[in-house]
Amino acid sequence: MTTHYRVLSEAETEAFGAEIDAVKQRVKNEIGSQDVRYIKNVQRAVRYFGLFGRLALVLSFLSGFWILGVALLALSKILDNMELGHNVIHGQFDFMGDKHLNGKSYEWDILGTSNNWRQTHNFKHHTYTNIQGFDDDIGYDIIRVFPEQKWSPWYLLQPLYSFLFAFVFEWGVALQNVDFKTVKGLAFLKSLKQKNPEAWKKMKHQLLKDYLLFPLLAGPMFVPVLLGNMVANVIRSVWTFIIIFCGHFTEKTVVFPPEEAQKTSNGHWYLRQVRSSSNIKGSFLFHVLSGNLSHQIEHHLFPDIPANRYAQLAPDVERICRKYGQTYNTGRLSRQFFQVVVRIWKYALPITKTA
Amino acid sequence: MVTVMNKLFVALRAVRDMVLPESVYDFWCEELGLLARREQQVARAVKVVSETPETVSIWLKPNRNFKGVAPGQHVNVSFLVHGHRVQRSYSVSHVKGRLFRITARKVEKGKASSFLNNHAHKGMIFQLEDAYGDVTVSHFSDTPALFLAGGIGITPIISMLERWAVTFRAQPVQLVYWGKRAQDLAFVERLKKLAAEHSWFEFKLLETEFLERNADGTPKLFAETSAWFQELTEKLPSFNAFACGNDGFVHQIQERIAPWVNQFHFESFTPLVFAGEPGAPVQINLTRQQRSVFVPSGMNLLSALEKAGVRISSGCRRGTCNTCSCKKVSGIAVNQSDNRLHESSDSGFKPCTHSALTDMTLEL
Repeated sequence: MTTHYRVLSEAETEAFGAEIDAVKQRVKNEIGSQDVRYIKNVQRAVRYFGLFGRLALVLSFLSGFWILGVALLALSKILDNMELGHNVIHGQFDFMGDKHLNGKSYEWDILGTSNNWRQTHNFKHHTYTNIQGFDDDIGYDIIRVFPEQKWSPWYLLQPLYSFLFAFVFEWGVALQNVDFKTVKGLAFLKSLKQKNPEAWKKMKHQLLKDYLLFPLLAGPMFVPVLLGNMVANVIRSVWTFIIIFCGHFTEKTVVFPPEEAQKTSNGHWYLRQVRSSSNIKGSFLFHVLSGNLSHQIEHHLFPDIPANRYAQLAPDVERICRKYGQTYNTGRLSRQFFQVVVRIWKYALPITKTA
Repeated sequence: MVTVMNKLFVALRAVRDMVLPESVYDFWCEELGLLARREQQVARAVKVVSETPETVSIWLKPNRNFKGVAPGQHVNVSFLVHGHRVQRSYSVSHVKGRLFRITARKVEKGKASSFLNNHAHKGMIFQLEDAYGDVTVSHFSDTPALFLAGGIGITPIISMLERWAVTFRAQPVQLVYWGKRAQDLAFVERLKKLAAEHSWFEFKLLETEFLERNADGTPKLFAETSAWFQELTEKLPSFNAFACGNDGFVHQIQERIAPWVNQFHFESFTPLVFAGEPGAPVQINLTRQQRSVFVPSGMNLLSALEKAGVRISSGCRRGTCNTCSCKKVSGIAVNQSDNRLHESSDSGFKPCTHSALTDMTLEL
């Protein structure tokens, strides 16, 4: 395959899968009260930070309160999006039977609908990770990060628009499942309303909430609250962009040709997840803020296992990867994100083969 | 005017849902220790009583969303057992205003009953569903009643007796209560007291440990030569009878009593029956689609349901994308990847990685 990943025979692939399965089963048997306490504490953090953030914004006539409000609200939105929403929507906490932590019904505080995410992320991205033609998350169809993606002159601008994209990443996720190619201009809005009423309703809901209702409730502090909400949303967008791009577009990650989708055995599937994902090293707090996507490899191997268990799984996964000659791709955030930026600049050019 | 009011109401509701959506409202209620929820029916344990070494009663105070329960009815109750939600159906054993009592007898390998007996405590929160069951006090209000209880099957019966004890009862009530040994049976002292205080109530306790055996080894519930049985049979035609106990118990009662009484009702705890050989049909009840289909046991459940014409959303077919997951209300499945049995109710059950071993109810 590449120098980073030894080619495995069918028997080795099967054995690799069996070892990963065994690790999964061991941790699965331990899932219970500890995980309930964890996710309840995350939910608590989302609610308290959200409440105090919004209150601080209302009191932003006091010195320093606007910045405090933005920071707390952004923190709440990041946690809601990453560690709570993303993991809950995967069904990781369905065993609790909690109506508000249910993978099929959870709705998060973001422009895109959870249903849209279930389709594009839970199904497409996780089932066909980095398989061309199947996984829409490969550069989100607008950024060329692998030489296997077909080049067009448009990509010469990607260093610029990728930078801008980070600030509106929330919109990118919300519109990921929407067809831009056939409907252009203002007709697009009409089309969105008619063809995807759920997405339209959610966008309206979020915009009215953050940019009209909460500012109105703040009375004379209308403008600071509106701006505070906007900045909090942008901070969340930039953070999620960084974490998510580091998950699959670092130097050693690979993409697969469409025929790879036919290989559905556990071993092949697990191998694909390892080869297409990369971790980020960091503290416990960093892992929580990244929604444990800093353990992207473990997340892709075990998307239905509570994310707070990934740190526990990681040493065994790394050991198995080493045993089978598969690079366990990890590094500090600065290193991983630098590699992403290099890819964005490098493949803006019509390079078709890796050096 | 009405239209304007309606529009205003809808607008206010929309504003409320933006500022305080249900999930946020429910969170703060829970955080502040309140029972209020926007839609969910929940209850708090306000008293826990150990009835026997292996039977516990829990008094529950429900929130306003719970519509109430009548003596004789059942409630689906769910709670966390070591972090995992389990749901069981309990007959209420007492109803006092909005408060009601459930009683759980510990059964071997019973996850829920063992947990309640060992860990139920005041303040514990339960989730509830609407009460159900047609056999209530009103069924026996104008006729003599014969109650036949096997073990913990006493619960719906004692709830009716408790109701009549504080209201009015003109017609006689005869209870026959079977159990292995008297000291293991719940509410014996209370029943004796009720019998002493109320002329309309007669009560007979039979310890099955000392009864003759049927050919299959089960206790012979009726000693036909005994004086009490002779006396009972004379009264039977005027009685409305109600039996509650396990399947074998109710079956025996039904054979001996049903032909002679005015009306016969029963409720039994039916153990799940494993399908014989792999491929033998099992019945899958789909609650949302309000229909049942038969599928071969041992076959991948998602594929089997699709083959039976059931429309079901699915994605990866390997248990990762969560698209096909649904609530399994009852039934035993086996996980096809590790051959582990999946016996409890589960709100995140994945048909794509399981096959059914018994009849099953899914929220689909």
